[in-house]
Amino acid sequence: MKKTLTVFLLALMVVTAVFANGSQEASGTEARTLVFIPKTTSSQFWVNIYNGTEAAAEELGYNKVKFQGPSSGADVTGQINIFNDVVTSRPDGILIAVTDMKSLKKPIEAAIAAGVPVVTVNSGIESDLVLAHVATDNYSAGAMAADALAEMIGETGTVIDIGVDPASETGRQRENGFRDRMTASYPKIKVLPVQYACGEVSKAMNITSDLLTGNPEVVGIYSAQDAGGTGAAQVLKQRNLKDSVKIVSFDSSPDEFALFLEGNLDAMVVQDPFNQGYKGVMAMDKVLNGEISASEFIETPVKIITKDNVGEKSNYDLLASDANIKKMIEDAGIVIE
Amino acid sequence: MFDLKNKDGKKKNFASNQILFIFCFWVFMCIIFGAFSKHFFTLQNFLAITIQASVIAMLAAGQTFVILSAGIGLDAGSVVALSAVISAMVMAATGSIFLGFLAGLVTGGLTGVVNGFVIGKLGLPPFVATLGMMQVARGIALIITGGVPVYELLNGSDVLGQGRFLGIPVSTIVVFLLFLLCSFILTRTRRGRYTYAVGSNPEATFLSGINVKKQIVWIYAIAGVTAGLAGLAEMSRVGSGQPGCGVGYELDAIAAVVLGGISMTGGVGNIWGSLLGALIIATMRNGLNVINVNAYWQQVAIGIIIVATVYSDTVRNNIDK
Repeated sequence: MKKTLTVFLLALMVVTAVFANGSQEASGTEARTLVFIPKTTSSQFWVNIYNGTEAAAEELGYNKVKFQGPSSGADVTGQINIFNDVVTSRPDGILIAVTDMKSLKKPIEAAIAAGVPVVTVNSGIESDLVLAHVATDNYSAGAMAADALAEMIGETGTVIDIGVDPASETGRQRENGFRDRMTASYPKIKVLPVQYACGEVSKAMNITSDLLTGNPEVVGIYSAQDAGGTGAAQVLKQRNLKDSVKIVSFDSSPDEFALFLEGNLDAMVVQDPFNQGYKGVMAMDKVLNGEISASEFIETPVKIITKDNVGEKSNYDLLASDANIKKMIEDAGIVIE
Repeated sequence: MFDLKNKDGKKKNFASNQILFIFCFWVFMCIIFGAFSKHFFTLQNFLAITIQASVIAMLAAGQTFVILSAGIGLDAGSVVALSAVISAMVMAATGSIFLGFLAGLVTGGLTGVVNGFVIGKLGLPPFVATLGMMQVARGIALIITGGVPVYELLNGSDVLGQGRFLGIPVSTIVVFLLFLLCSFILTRTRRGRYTYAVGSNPEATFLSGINVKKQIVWIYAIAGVTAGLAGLAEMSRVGSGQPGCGVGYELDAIAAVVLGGISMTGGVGNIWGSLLGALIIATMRNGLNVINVNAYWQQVAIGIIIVATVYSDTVRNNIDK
């Protein structure tokens, strides 16, 4: 009994020492530490945002920004848990791209009330407590995509609609923007009921394949996210349909870009993830210095990139923030003007 | 008068042939989908279903071994991702498709051996051990890729996922051969019979001199290799190694095994049932897409169909008694 007690007390002392040491280290440094929580760590898009945060952090003399997120883009609970755990570690600020705006509202507002400032990036919540939101205007981007696709298919025909997932606010806005524009301006285009790829390429492939089987008259595909576009383009490639079906997809990841260069994907609605991260950190800096008093929306505009304009310098800059895509552009010998 | 009799001396009728019953259920489902869309009943669609079922079917084959032994393999989806990315990375590094594919299978096998060791030797419940591996495998996949998909696979590596032989998809052929092999192993080899024994009564198996620990390692190693194979198929079809892929696949694999009539308590079941189970799940998803069912309603429909299938199988079991 005595022996067990001694061992137990020793263990307790060691554990306490470790925890005490840990928390001391956190408060000892002068430079600020931020944490970026994406929707998922499994996609190049979020890594690009992270690179933007890193660049801004370096400029401002902050510590390296931490990167923590769930492995699935639809894992709301996972993100909430990670968020709460990060809040407990008391960083100087948190940048987050929320997976579900309703579920993250309470935790975020609680964190702000507890003294941890939160800036939302790419996908936010509706709250006046969040002093900065850096994002694309997804609704109008969806409408732009509708215009682009409509032009490519001659403003008539059946179109497949691949959504993100039902809980994604960003996805819904892109959906609504696209569908509203189609209904309002292109009455001869029929948009099939949306099917959700949930960020998985193989799911998008199955959806595209099945919908093409069930609706062989399809002439266009819209995807609100890169995984959907990659999957749809893969199916077109495998079925040799690149000339008869046009794809407009959001975002540009390397595997999607490869299919774009082959002509299996026709247009990408490219956001500016690097600047979302960069401006997010800059905004956080202002928040920490007390320079922002009321909630601000900072927009990062989108561009629709096609084979015709991929060589333009401003488009190139957007794409080249991803090192893999930059290399692919160089290898393809595309001239930048 | 000839009456075919079961081992118990009861009359063998339609209801007592489990595989036939599930097969008829599948045909019934196809007829319903066919009624709603003329595009469903085409050869191309049927082949598309088999392609879409391949990855789950491969996982279901390995999962059958595990469930027959009264265990469970929750790590299947994560191992698919891990094997896909490792295979892609090895291919890129060595320029050899063969080495890449081998690496994928070995990765799967190794995770299986670790599982078998933790369950067999350390004595942890399969649920806990494979739950842990599910997280670890996913984590490793994300670490080694930095979260970014490995794209630009070697030319020719798409043969498994996209190739065709005499018009039949290669993945379909591979799945069929895999099930032939697994069925042979389970019914005609010692280790196969031991699998049933361990699930049926581990105590008695041990007492009859069989090394149960070794057997468990073997069982989970097989499940691991099939998961590795599934990872290769996934990578080959999608055209890139995605570290985030395979989420939830283990549930589909387990559902396929259960739909196939194999008992979760172990010791009894025919592996061909698992293949049919995987086919049912893929047909369900495909059919609901082809007839343009709203995405939300698809979820409900899938749940109802799974319950209905297993319930009708329960009823069938009761009739047979």
